[in-house]
Amino acid sequence: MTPQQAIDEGIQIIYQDFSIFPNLTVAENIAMPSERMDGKKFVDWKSIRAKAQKALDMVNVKMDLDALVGDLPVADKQLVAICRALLQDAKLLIMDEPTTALTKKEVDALFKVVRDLQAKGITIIFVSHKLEEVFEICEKLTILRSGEKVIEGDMADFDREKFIYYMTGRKIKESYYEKPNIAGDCLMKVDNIGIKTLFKGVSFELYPGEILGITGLLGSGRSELARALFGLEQLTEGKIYMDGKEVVLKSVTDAIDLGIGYVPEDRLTEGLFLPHTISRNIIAPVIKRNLTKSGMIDNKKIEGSVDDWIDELKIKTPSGKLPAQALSGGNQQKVVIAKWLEPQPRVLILNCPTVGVDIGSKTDIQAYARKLAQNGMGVIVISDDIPEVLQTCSRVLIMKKGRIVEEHPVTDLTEQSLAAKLSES
Amino acid sequence: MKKLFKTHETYVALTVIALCLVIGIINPVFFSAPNIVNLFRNATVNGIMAFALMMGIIIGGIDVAFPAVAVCSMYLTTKTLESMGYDGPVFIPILAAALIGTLLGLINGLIITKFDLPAFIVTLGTSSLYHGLLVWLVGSKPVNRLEPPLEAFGKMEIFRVTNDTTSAALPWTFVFMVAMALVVWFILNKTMLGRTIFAIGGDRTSAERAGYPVKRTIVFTYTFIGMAGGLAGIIHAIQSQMCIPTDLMGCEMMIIAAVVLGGTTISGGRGTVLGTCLGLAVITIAKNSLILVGITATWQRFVLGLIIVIGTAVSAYQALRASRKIAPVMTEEEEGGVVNG
Repeated sequence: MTPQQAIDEGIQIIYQDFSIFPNLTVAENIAMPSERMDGKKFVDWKSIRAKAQKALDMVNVKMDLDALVGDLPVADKQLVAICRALLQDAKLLIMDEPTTALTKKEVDALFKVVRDLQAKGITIIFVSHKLEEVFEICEKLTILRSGEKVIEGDMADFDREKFIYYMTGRKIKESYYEKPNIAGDCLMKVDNIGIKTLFKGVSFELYPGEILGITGLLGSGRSELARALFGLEQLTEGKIYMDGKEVVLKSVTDAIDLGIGYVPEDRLTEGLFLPHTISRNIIAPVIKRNLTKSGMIDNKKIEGSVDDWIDELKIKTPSGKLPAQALSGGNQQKVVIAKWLEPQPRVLILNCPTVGVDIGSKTDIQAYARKLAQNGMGVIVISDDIPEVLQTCSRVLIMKKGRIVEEHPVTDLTEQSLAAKLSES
Repeated sequence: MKKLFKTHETYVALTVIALCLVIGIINPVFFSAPNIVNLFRNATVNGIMAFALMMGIIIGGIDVAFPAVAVCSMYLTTKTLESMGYDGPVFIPILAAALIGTLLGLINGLIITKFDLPAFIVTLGTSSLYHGLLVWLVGSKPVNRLEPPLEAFGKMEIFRVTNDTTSAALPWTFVFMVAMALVVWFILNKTMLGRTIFAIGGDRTSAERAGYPVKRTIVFTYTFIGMAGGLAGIIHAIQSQMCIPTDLMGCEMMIIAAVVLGGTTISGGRGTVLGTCLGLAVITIAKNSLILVGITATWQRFVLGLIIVIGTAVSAYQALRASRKIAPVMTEEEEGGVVNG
């Protein structure tokens, strides 16, 4: 079956990356495939605009028809993809992880659209690994693991525990992380740091064994803060101390030399050399330490340490020689983590470490973060995934509009209370 | 009005005006009617190639074989006419040259899509292949005098301007460039084919998933560039009244520069006919008029290179700035104020 045949049968897929055309306008993105289906050879801009408007009305959204889709926020790009599918008389709409890049508010808006579509008689397959969302929106459930169907049934037959059990094939206990009693001076201290227009007045201390959570909504300045702590953005005010000594992070190299590791938000564009092997990816930050006497890359030495990492982090791969792009999201993320552990950092910053990661790998990664902290590393987890923050961190800072507004030991928080604190303005 | 200053075309237009003013103030001959008519005449061949090439760049590819295609078409055509002492209507040899170009372009397109190879590598190869084959099989002796129908057509003038010192004419061949611009504009903006070209240039995978005929459209585009190459070749021969099979070779960089200067993004997806017109104007003026301000032929290459580097760098820098624009998290007020969390 070709895509065209599937489309003719009324099947439409909203891909994870939306598959839109960033260089074209909203109207053209929405209506052009439908115009093509009508067998038109020439462009009829009037009909294109009318159709696009009709589709936007169907999902009750207002949007500038002449805006370039590449300039739109992610949530709007998704709506464009949905509108396009609707115009092609979709009977079956497959949504592949549609909420990955959306904030809570946008997810709610999306769910409203999904329910409207359902009421109009459209069948929807919702592909997701997010437990809360599946429980909220779905009526029937099929769980796949490692390419096999594990179970299917009505949503009513599932509860949280059963869902997680079938997703992972193991029972996962949800519990708080407690900072072990490790003696040690403050590893990293930031004092009133800020970057003009991005964040301001941020202060905290990080001790060995601690997992410090920094949480806030998209656009709260949390990512900019993370980037600044790794020398990717330059501070305009404030000071950073490592082991009590003032340091200046002018570049990533400075940060690595000071023992800071950073797992970025988007592994595909910031974290991995996708076409290169797993080994090369892991070894990239420490390539200078793996040279033979004549200055060539010491492949034997590399192979040894890469195999250790694959075991240690339970990366599912037959060998380190596979390209990174051949792995699943969760395993790719483990490669990124291995890459930043290889230089043996003392402070590890994880920026949204489990976005787009399956629940099994997610648990592995969270458990590993705890293990690192227990061995004396200072870990900073930046995330807006509330259960993750609660299960991984020992202390939580809440960030809003570029400032730290609250600080709590994790034991004071529940999912409900943290969610409420995040959404109140 | 605000929108006007956002478009790339505005900046290129300003560059054209600035270039004209500088050259014209230093040497008023630039603004004389014969000089301007000559500029249009000289833009003809490059223009035909530039408009077609723009489609190839918009679709996310590139073609560097069109000069070789042009040479093959013009040389094969004029050589054949010479050997048979042709005396028929002029449109037949022009059509023949365009057909030869179409065929060679089709070969490019088929290789690119069949083996899924980068267009740059394929056309770099076929460029050498076509030209090598031509010189090997047909030779490289220039055709010093065109057959009467072609010669006569080359001397047909739309109008002629004369002043005290010189005189210049705009030949009918100029119409081919105008026609090419109109055809490309029509395809890109008024046909589904053209919108498919933009879609593929924006995101090829998305186009495939949406069921667009991706391969067919790519083949069409390179075939069209080949056709334009063939046409440009024969027009070049007609305008210069002879055919030297090494002429035009190496002109591809200049044409690519004109297209990119005009705002067509080299990574594909964006480009306009108006922009290419303006880019072509910059290149044509720089190439033909720098001599008027006393820049000698040796320095001309240097200055031309400078214009291309600065021109393309400015547009690339604008795109970079747009993509790196980080949305501010805090307003001025919030930054100064006290937080009430």
